[in-house]
Parts: sequence; C-alpha cells; structure tokens
Amino acid sequence: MKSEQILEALDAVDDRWLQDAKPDAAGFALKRNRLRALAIAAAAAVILLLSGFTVYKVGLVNGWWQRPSNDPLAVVQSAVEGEINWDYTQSASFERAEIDEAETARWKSNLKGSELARSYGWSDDYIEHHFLVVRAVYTVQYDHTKTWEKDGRLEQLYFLRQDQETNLWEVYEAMSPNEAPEPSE
Amino acid sequence: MEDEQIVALYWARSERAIRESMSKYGAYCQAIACNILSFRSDAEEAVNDTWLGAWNAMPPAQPAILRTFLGKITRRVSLKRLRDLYREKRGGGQVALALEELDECVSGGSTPEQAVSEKELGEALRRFVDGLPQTERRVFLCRYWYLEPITAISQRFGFRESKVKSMLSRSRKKLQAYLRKENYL
Repeated sequence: MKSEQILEALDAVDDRWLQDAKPDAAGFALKRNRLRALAIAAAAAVILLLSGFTVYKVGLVNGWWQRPSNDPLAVVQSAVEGEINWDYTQSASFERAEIDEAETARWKSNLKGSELARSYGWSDDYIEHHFLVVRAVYTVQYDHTKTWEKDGRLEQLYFLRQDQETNLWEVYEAMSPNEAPEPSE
Repeated sequence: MEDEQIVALYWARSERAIRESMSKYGAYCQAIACNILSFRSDAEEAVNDTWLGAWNAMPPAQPAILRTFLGKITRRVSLKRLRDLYREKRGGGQVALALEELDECVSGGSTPEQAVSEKELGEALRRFVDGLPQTERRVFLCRYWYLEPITAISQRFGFRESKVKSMLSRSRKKLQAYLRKENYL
C-alpha cells in the first residue's frame, strides 16, 4: 500500500468530524460579544494589576480557554467557563470540581517512562510532583448546527500540569466527557 | 442563505446556487485548495471546478452538510490537480510533507497497492477516525484531511508545535497498528 492511497481514502471520513475539526470557515472563531467581554476582562485585569494584584488572563492554552492559576480547581473552573468562547457554545455553567486521587495515581503511573513523557523531556520526578487529574461536573449547551459534541450535564476528567517556571497549573489534556451521575440526595 | 435553500437552488438549476455557494463557502474551499496546491492560480482553478462539480452532482445528491460536501469536492479536485502538476514537476507543499509522514504508516507492509480496494480502505479509515479521542481526531483531520501546516494547527489549538508533532506521531502509530490488524499491511 502507498501513503497516497491513505490520503485519498480519507475522503470517506464522516462529514460531522470534518465539520467538528473546523467548525467554521475562519476556524474556531470568537463571537463578537465574547471578544468584547474579553476586552472588558483584559481592561479589568490591567486595573487590578495596577492596584498591586497579580492577575492572569483567560487565554487559549493547550486547546482550552483557561486561566492558569496556583489553584488547580480554579483552572478547571476557568476551562469549563471558557467553553463559552467557542463559536458553537451557547452556554456553559460550572458546578463543581475535585482532585481525583485514584485517576491522578493511574495517570502518573502511565506517564512515567512513557514515550510521550520522553518526547516532552518530563522526568519521573517532575511527573510525580507536577501532574494532577481533576474531575469536574458542568452543564453546557452547544449549537448542534455547528458541532456534534455531546452536551447537557456532563462529567469530565481534566489532566493538569504545573509549569516549573511560574508554578501555575494549566489544563493540558482532557478525556471526552460523559453524562454526569445524578446528584445524591 | 440557509444551506437547504442553496441545495434547492441547485436542484432548480438556478445559477444563483453557485453565487450563494461562492459567497458562503468560497473562503472555506479556497483554504482547502491552498493547503494542497502551492500556486494561487491552481487553487482558484480548483475552487472554480468545485462549483462545477457541485452543479453536476446536485441533483441527484442532496447533501446533509453542504459545507463539507463542497469541501470534499475541492479536496478531490485539488489532489487530482496536484497529481497532474507532479507530472509537470510543480507539486509539493503540504501534501508532499503529509505523504512523507504517512509513509511511516505503510512501511513494512506486504499488501500490493492494487489489492487494496479504495472503498474498503475508506470504510476502514472512517472507523479509525471514529475511534480517535476528540482532540486527537481534530488534529489528525486538520493535518491529513485539510492538509494544514503544523504551524497553523498549533495556532488553531493553542498547542506548541512539538505537541502537535507528538500527537500526530502517536496517531500515525495507531493507524499503522490498525491497518496491520485489519490486514491492510
């Protein structure tokens, strides 16, 4: 077989994935009102900064709109709420987040010594102290003329990494979300 | 204009269908053609052939997603044009690089190229892409379907280029294992 055959046979890929990979002609375009909201947030950040507070802005980092922070749960909250910046999101509401110790241990164990870790230059010691898995529950609504992503009340695992220079946590990867379990009485 | 109305114009054999398609999806198709063909004039020609292809296809075709329907025509026309240009020694660009990368997936195979049915291979690749995790699928399709440069993908998703390369490398290894399992290699 030749690689040309693969390239040509990819023509059969489901249209919804093609639409999902590039939701509109301009790529992941921001809604104008979101841009305005971001501009206001940036202005507020400047004011706070001048007042002596350290503020990190929401930005597109590792594929998520998020605000890196010393608090890993706050980062995940910002990533959930940051969903609203995608053109296809109609609403996004954060409910709760918690560190999942079991998943963290499993993730670290998988990562240590892996090819992926080697490609990034992550030592086992770095992985041990600078990686976390956070489980979050949130509700999101998408415009299904633009995306087929699952919406509703969802539960998702977020993989976080702490930057060695700034010590700030950031979402680095996430599992596909599942329907969230009903809250217990 | 809504897609259903544009499709209805094609079915009514109204030339306005082409004007509306150009206005709504011209930039999208142009971007696909430009990723494949190095020369703007070649890309423009491919996009013009897209409207002709759509005109000839509808009726009987009644696409559910007009945007990707047109995108697929552009991709097919552009790849065909590229093959012609290769013969004239004018090809290259992202396709040459993508093919070089995909060569990894077919190396070591013993199946003769003519023995592989394009339709069957298409179906297999469709299943492979269906099974990829969300982010990996988006990056894979941006590279090997839309044939976007790695720099553009890293900007689109907010990833470092090294992360995009690493994700693509993992996807290619998965694809190779998948093709082997399905007896294509």
